[in-house]
Amino acid sequence: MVKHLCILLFLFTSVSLSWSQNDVPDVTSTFAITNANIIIKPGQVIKEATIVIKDGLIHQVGKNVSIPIDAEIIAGDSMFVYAGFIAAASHAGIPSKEEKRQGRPDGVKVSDPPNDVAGITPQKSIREVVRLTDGSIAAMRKEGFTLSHTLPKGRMMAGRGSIILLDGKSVDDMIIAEDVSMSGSLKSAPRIYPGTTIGVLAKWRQLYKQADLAKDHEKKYKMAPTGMKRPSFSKEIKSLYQVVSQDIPVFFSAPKQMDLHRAMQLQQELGFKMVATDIEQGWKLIPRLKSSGTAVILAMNLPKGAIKKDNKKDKKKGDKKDKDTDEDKKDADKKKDADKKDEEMSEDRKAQKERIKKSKADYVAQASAFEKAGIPFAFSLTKVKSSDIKKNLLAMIEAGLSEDAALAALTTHPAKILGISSMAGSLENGKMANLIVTDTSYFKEKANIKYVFVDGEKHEMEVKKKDKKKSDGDASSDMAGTWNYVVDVPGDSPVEGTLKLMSSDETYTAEITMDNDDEPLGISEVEVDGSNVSFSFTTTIDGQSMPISMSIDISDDEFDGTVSIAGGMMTAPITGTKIPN
Amino acid sequence: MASQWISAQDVLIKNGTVITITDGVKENTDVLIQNGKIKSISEGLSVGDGVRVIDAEGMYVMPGIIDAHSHIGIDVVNESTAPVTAEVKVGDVINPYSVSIYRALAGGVTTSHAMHGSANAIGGQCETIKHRYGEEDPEALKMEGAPRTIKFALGENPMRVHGEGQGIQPKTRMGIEQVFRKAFAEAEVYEKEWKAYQSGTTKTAPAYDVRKEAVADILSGEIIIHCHSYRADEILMLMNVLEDYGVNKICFQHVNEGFKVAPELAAFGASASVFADWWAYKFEVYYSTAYNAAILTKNNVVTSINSDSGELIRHLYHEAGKTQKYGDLTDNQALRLITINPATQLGIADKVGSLEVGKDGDIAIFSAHPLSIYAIPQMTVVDGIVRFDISADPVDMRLDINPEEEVPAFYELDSHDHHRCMEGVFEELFTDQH
Repeated sequence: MVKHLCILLFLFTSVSLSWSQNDVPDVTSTFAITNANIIIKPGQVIKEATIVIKDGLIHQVGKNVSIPIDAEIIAGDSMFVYAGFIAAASHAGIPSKEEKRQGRPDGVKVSDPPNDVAGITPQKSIREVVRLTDGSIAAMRKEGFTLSHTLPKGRMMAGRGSIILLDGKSVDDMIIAEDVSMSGSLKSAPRIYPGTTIGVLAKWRQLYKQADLAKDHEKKYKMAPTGMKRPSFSKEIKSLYQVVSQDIPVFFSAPKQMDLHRAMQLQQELGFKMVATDIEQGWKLIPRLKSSGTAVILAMNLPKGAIKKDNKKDKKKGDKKDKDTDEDKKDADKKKDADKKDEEMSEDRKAQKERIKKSKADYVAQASAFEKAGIPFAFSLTKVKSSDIKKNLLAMIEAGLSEDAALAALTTHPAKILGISSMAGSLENGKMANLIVTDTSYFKEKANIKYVFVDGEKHEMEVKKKDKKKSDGDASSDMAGTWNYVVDVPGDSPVEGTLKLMSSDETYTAEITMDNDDEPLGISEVEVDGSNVSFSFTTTIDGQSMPISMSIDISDDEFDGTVSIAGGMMTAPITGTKIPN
Repeated sequence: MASQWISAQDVLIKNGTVITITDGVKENTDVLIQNGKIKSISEGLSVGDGVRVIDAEGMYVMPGIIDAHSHIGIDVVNESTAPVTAEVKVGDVINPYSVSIYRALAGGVTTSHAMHGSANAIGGQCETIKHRYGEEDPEALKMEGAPRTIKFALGENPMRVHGEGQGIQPKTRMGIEQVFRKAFAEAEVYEKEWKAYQSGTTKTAPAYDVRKEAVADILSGEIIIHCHSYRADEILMLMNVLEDYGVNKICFQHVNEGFKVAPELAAFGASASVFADWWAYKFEVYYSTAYNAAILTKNNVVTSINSDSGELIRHLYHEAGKTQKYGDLTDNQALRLITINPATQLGIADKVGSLEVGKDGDIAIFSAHPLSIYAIPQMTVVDGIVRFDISADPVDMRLDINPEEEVPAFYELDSHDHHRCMEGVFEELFTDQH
């Protein structure tokens, strides 16, 4: 009952949200951005030019463009216009609670579980799970993304991906190409078959060959059914027909080198069409990727600590040596400590540290290595926090990636991989009016995205004021609000709920709900230190009172952190997304 | 790091005491390897410039050691979710970056049998790997031409994992026999159905089953069985089952009670791969003796000594030496336990396991006789490439560095190096390991 109420409530709020957004009709659907630097596509820039958008399409671009009378004019002086970014693979629009990494469900036959429990749902379409109101859509749009090839979350065969606009009045409205791919990975099921990578690979062979034979059987049966055994209709197997016939590619998630190797071996053996995605460590397989012509999607996420902060701090310190603030002093002390530790380290340990540093640098330089090898690539956003996208991209550029290649990886290359080059990926006449407007070159650290147009719809972005009193990472009023969270309890079902943070006069309080508890629990003491928020409370689990403490790091509309239960008896990761107001 | 292994596969090893295994011991003899294969074993060989010459004067040159039971170099050991998982292959998850491979080289081991674990009655397919540490392509470690092998397991492990753990067959040793019989019978039917379809007798293809395909390959003799076993009664049971199905390619692994049924093993043509002196780690493995290898050998059972461990694999020559204390085996008999005999058990005796012209250039060079407790491996050569050299042995031999691992696990004594037969089996069942 509570569940049903929640669903009703959810439906109601989502409907009312879309009403409130769209009940005032736009005055015009024609826009002209004048006197701007227009990057038609990577390497092709027209300075002091005008771009006219009409009815969701790019109407005209160039120097001598006549501006329609009904156009809203945006003075683009000194601004830059780019094609809207395209995520070649992401989970945009899929609520985080869709990602259920449960323990083994009760009553399931471990050796032969139902397909959906085993992570085999190739029939699943993202239409069923995508939500207009999911925070990830606005978060990605804020970073300049206008289109996403959204893949379902899950394990070895999670389902089919669709290309969606990161805006729209309904899910129907958002989808521009449905079920264009199959999502594949080597992720095993929790303590049921296939419980390991070797099981997953065997299961891939089983399902693929089964589908191949079933397809053939069905075809023969259609021609001459008399005397032939009736084909069986497994929805999973039927959903694989398009993979077997190579009508749709498998977007195979292969983060590490060994994953990528294994995916390529499987592809070679079975012969499906493959796009290798989520690649974090693929540079050593460049020759093989190149010779096989495999389409490549690199991960936008980088290893933890891969982007050094020290350099920047050092620079900053140099800049304002005269006013030695407390913070700088702290930094200096920290550095002294680190140096001291360095001295105490053995030669072996030092060499190890050096190798870790080198390894991190290799990951950051991956994109540049692919560019040098002449392999076109796009980016996958399945694992990156949206607030890290720009940061990571700039780090890759610092490691040798050219700006043109970076832009291509966000525009023309994903369009090509997804087969939508004729409608998106560049600012040419007649293409979808997906574009972004920045106040200076996007590739400058300080650049702000001022407008994002999705399908001709204007979104004006709130530009962060750089001269804000509090420096980056400090508490901001943005923290206040309601957040959905998921605690990934090891070996058990995830716990979900909402966390409401409230602030008044520099003090924070909170309210938390867990699972379907309708009574929120009040928390009067919430500690806020920079972007870190921590608090404790006591709840009752199975009649036992249980102290729980949470520590989370908030960045924009997302947070992650740790939940500690019963004084550290158990810890579990927690993630959250802000519910848009 | 990998650049230190030049790709040249030519090497001349001069003036060593050459233990050929199959053709006696030759003093002051040279071994010439060309293109990765043994070209000549003779005195006073010479080569032109550009070929590496290794001075082995005062040293012992023997074939690279072979381990018929190990779990190094693979990322997954057990798919423990079903009593029969013949379809899974550890060859799918070879990890060339496993530093255990280098450590095995440092013990003179050039080939190992990377096995699936013993959680299931019929476990997964295994992979015979060459220790080509430095190669980064997993496929490059697979030994060319090595026959397919598969893991079976008798006794307590499958009973505990599936019987106790899931409440399904096999709950008893009798149940294990029935798991084999059922799998074999089903595979036989499956084969018949496919033949009927292929000959046009039936119109539709049978439901494809990757598991039955693998079991059918066992029945057709294409795959050698390597069976985890302890008790004599169960060993006899499996031989009876195999006889019913006309299968005879089997090597019993561990086989601690093999000494009780040595004549029966020999008559069946089964081989045995044992520990030198290791038992009593669970109930079914108390009745054991360090004389096992010697008794089996003297009863004409092809016997090997294995490691089942990333640690023991580094001193298999010591393990072989124990058979001289317990059973008075000759030097040649003892060394056969870690060279030509395991090669026979893996179906690769035509390529490795002895120093003969035409065989692979896989060589271990020791400072003293390898059965001496003072022997230290000096250099290990695989296909004519020096992969381990004690004089050039840096501290950190890793090929791949995890960017997020501040304290590398390799630095600690990694527990997973040890006895991984039951690795991956659910924690609640993780009491015994072999």
